Amino acid sequence: MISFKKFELANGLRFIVNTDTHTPFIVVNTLYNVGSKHESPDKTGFAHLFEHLMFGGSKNIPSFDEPLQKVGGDNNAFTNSDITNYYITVPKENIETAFWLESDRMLELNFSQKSLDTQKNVVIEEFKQRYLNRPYGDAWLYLRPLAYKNHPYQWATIGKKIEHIQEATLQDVKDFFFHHYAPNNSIISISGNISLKKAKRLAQKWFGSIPHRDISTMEREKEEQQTEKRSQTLEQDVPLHAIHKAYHMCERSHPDFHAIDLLSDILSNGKSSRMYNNLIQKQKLFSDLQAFITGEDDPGLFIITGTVMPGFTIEQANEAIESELQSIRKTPIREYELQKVKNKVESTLIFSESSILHKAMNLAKYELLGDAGLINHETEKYACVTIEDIQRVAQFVFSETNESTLLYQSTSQA
Amino acid sequence: MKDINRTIPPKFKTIAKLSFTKAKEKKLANNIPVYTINAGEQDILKIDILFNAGEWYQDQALVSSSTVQLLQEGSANFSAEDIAEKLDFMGSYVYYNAGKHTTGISVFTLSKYIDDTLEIIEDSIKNPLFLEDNFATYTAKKKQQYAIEKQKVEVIAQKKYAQILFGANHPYGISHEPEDFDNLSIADIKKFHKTHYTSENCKIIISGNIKPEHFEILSRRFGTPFGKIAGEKAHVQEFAIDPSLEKNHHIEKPGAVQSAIRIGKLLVNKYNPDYPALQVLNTVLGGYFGSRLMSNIREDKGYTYGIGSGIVSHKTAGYFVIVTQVGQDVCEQAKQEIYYELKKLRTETIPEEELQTVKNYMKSTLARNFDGIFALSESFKTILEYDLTYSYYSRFWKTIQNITPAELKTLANTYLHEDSMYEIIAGSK
Repeated sequence: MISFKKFELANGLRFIVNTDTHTPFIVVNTLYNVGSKHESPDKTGFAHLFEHLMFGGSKNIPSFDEPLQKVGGDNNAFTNSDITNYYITVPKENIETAFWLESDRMLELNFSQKSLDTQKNVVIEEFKQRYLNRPYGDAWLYLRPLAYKNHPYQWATIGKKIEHIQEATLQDVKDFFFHHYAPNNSIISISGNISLKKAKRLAQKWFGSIPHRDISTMEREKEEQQTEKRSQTLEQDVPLHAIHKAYHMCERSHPDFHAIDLLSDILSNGKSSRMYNNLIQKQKLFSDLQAFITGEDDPGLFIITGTVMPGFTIEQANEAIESELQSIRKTPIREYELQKVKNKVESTLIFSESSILHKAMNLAKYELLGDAGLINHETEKYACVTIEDIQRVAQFVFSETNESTLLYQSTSQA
Repeated sequence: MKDINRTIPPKFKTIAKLSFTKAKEKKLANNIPVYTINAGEQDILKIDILFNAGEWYQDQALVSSSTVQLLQEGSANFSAEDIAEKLDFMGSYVYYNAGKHTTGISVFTLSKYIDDTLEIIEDSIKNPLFLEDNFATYTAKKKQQYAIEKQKVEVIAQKKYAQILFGANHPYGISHEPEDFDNLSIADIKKFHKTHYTSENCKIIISGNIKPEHFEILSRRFGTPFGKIAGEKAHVQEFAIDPSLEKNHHIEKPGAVQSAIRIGKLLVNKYNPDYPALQVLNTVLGGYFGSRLMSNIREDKGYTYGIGSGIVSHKTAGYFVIVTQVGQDVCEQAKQEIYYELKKLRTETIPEEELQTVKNYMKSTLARNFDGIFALSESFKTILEYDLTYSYYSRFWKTIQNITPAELKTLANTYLHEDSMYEIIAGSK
């Protein structure tokens, strides 16, 4: 149970405050409701590139990091397909520095060509490091466009290709800022050793004068129902054959979300899970095998990825996965199995409440979904999932025409 | 509302002193020391069961890590499936980690499940079966995971780096290859377990919202002598460090779009009085986001997604290393900038303001290392492994407080001369 209070400024900026006096630190988490799904198809990777630029100095402050480090603060950020999220940890005595810095970059960035040019290079190196220079690193660059034909989830957050990053101009950056970075498109959650009163005073002082802005509300294309089984094979010099499968599933706020999340746990969370037991331990088909959901706000994906042990063909391995999926569609799971994954979820939630950073991030994320208070009902929602729910969701998620399969055929294992 | 001046930073304070909950030592009836750190409000506990059973003590590659990993693969009273089922059902998480000297079984559990969780852990530590089938599955699987890792330039560079500094036969330099799994036998694992997983060789840390009954449970589970063979002691080996004579090494990885760079040298470890000051110097160079390496090579030149430096302390030796992956086409330029920054530490005095920022940042980082039960327990584990006391941290704090730019420049000349560095590049020429 996380206790919190909410308030909103006149410009539309929402604040959530969780007071935790057991720590001498405070986390300030700033979520912007902009991710790679808000990009246009010919300018992808922009939300993420922009995240880098947010550290290049703002209207009144030449450097973001230096003054923060000087007061003992630390910070980072991430971008995904739905949001861009910035977080600062700072000693409680120096909380005002966090408000000062975070508010100035919400007010306006220092749009500099030098910073843009450098960060384009940095992001291109990130692209190489994470997607190109390691075995299977490019899986998401192929899997997303295989699964999505209309919706912007068809490109990875890093962007479709390096050229999109290279082509970004300073004007693009300015447009992006004023269309997406605004108090009325942001949620700030604070967790740590701070009173509500102090948070309110600082919020008004530093963020109160930032103008409300008109937000770009481009309608996103809806993904049409997939009607055929899709498959793509890559021949690469990777050590082992590998399989990546994607199935369409519901959006984050859909009532079936929790059942599908538990379905992924039953298949692969922990050493007692079905796929680990049957396919890794017993049949010894895979060296690694994972099932998980992307958990995105719009309809997302149920993913299965595995690397195939030498001596087995990629077809054998793929059939074994599909047979596991058939089995969970046909036969109801045991009550015990369901209880087990529910317990795991509950335990994970309790552990996450011991960290002010996790608390702050979760409060903002759930507020974006509709209400920060939803975080305190998650355990309940998982608890309500029934055996019938699991079977029902398995039947439609794992239907053949909902499947996209990416195969890595290893040229060295051929 | 009155106007605010956004160009003036708010007033700030530096953290005046380091304060935190300390571990208290108790003893079980069999003399196992138990360190309790009572903190936190949630009903959760972390229990670290530590043995001197790291790679230092193994006679052959992979024995130490495989032994601890295989503890979860079946014991006298619980099959591998039982262990996994029961731990998952309680939502308990167990991590098995083999370090250079210490092997740790770290248990995260809801307080209400401590006894049921420890019942399993107790049996898997005291009575593991090491069955042939589980062993074969484990080694076959791990071998493939290693084969995938081996394709990454950063892994290639790091392995080579350790080997060059310490020599291929030294526990700090040994490189575990996929093929080494072929030479591993179950008899080696059983023998290693028998000699090292004993109550005489064990320490326990428990942290969280600890109640008296939790200590009683620990006593019941681990308080009688186990694994002990009268008179027999695990033999402690001595190893000579045997660094490479060649300073520069290139490992070709055809087609790599980025090159992994490792530049560094052997350096003192935590026991040396210069160690805290060297950590300050390292932070200036590459130890935080605003460091010189990051500012120059990432934020100014854009050659990399990230660059950093670190001083790694092992129990009997330490080393310094600069770590990065850069575009294949800018590798030479990146190297030049790295050497430029190293030389600058030695030839120019660090400006007061920059040092002040580093000092404040480091104090805060140190304070964060004691914030929360998991952090408290990790920080204590560090000094326990080195047989140090909490005074290590107060000395560290004092050094941060008092060190001067002139002293740092002297240190840079003594320890970090750019000509004394080894250089390893893994990538495509």
